[in-house]
Amino acid sequence: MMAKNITVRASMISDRVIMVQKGLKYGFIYFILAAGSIVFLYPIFYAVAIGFMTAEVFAVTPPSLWAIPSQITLGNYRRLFLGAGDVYMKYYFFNSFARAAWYVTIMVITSLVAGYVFARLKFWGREVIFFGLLISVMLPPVITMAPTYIMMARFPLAGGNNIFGQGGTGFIDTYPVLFIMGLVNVLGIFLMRMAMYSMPIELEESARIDGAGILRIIFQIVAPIQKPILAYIAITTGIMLWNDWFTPFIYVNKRSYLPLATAISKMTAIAVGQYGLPDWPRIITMGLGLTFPCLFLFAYFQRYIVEGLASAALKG
Amino acid sequence: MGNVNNKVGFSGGAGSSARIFSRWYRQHREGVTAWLLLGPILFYFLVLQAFPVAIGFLLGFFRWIGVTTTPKFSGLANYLTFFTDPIYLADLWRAFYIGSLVMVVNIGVGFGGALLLNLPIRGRGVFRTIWYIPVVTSTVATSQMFLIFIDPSVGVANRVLEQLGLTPIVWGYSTFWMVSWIVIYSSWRGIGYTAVLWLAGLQSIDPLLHEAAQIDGAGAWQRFWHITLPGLRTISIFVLVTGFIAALQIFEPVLFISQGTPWGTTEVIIYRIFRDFYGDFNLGMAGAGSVMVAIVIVIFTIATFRLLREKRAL
Repeated sequence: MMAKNITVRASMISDRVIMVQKGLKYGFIYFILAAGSIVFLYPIFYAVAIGFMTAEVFAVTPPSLWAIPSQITLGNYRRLFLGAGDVYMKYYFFNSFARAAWYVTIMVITSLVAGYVFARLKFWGREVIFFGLLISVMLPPVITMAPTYIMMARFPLAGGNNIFGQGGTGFIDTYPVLFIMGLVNVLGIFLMRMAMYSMPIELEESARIDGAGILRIIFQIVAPIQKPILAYIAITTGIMLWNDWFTPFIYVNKRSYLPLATAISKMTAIAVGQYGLPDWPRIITMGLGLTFPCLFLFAYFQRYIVEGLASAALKG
Repeated sequence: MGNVNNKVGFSGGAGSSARIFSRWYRQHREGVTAWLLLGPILFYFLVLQAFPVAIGFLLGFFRWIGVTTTPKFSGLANYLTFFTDPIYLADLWRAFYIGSLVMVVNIGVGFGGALLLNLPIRGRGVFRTIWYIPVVTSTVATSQMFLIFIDPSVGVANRVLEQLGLTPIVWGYSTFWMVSWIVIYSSWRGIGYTAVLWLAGLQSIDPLLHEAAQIDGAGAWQRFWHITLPGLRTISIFVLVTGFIAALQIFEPVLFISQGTPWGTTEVIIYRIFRDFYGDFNLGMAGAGSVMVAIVIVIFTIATFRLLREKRAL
């Protein structure tokens, strides 16, 4: 009896030790995850706080970890959301949105069609062409930076150019230049083709027997089934284009042609010569206007992004 | 039989060619459809995306300063500059080491994070979301936040140092600190991406393997060493290869945070090419520089795949 009692007590103690150990372990895990989360979110919270300051207040506020404004002003947010004091704000937002929407539409359609054709149809030159596309992905994008600029500047019959591309300024500083470059997403085609290989062919065959044309098969049978990968392509290109400041930075200068990201970049230190010293609170607030739509989009479509990334990495 | 043949023979030029065409079409129907669908896409791709690559490879052989001037053939002069001017090779080296630092931090911290995020704990979905958030933010917006942190007068980084009793640092005058901040910013933005990739790798491992090993009495460390790590082979190749290619092309953090300061000691190769192109409009030199970067990357990629194939054969 006594002995049994002791062993029971001993086992209770060891249970408690294990529980404490477990608690410590989980506490440690939570601590690290939470610390990481604070690090990742801190700049964004800080930005929201700075948005409530004017440039003058910001300049005289002693730096602190919390950045609580001594004087709350809504000027920056009013400028961002209502366009108060900046008539170009609506252009910035519209251009960003139009660019993202246009590229998403085109890239999703081309990836879907080309990916399907490469995966399912046999035709002359298929392997060679696909290999060529893959090679083009391997090359760093910087190699086309200067040549594309020259090509846009020397585009025949555009912007006052003659048929040999001389005399005018081509597409430089025109609105269409924001919409005509790099419309084919090779990575998207590649992902789509890969997704097609894991889809059974019977569905398409039965549709073909029922008399469906190839376009109907692609858009009405394949597209709904391949929704996850198409969503991945759409979201990643959408976020990429929404955040893309570089192309418009190089190609356009007129303020009403600028997307939001480029408008911000033109106010930062890299364009001090053109636009004067940076007005931090204003830049930061506009940066928030750029960041938050992406955050909501990401939070909503997170599953697709993570799955798509996983399939791209594991199968590629 | 012969009659039928005669009929075909006499049916006249237009009819027979139409018939030949229709027979040809019936045989090659799939190819025709494919080319009709793919043709426009490929045409666009060739003209606006592949043709510039071809120009890019030729650009380095010309002396071409300013878009409106006429290019002059100059042979290998730009490539000679690339190798004789100490700037370019130094920039390539700096891109390599700054990029590698970023890569090491991303892969290391990302891996640790993925291990934790893969544990069956409450709220891990929220943590995963938060860890990935910086990836979807724009560099142009978030780099400005880090610029504010290291601002000499209003920066919070120096404030923290003061409160810890240390002397404030003029970050912008120190190569070490500018490199550190570039690495810190790039990692802040990149860890979530790497963590999600590692996470995908971890989740692709069959949980039954772990269970079986546990039943056989394998400890946590043994399971990690013999099941988890081998299972991450595919994903680690992907992470390393794409990570290195991205590392060599580090550009935006440098552009926004340091602009090559102090004294050009944080200038990297892509930033140099960008300045050759957009600052000086020295198109020939920009072309030569980007061809060299392309060559380095292609050699690296091919070498990796060669190595992997040999290993796989063994």
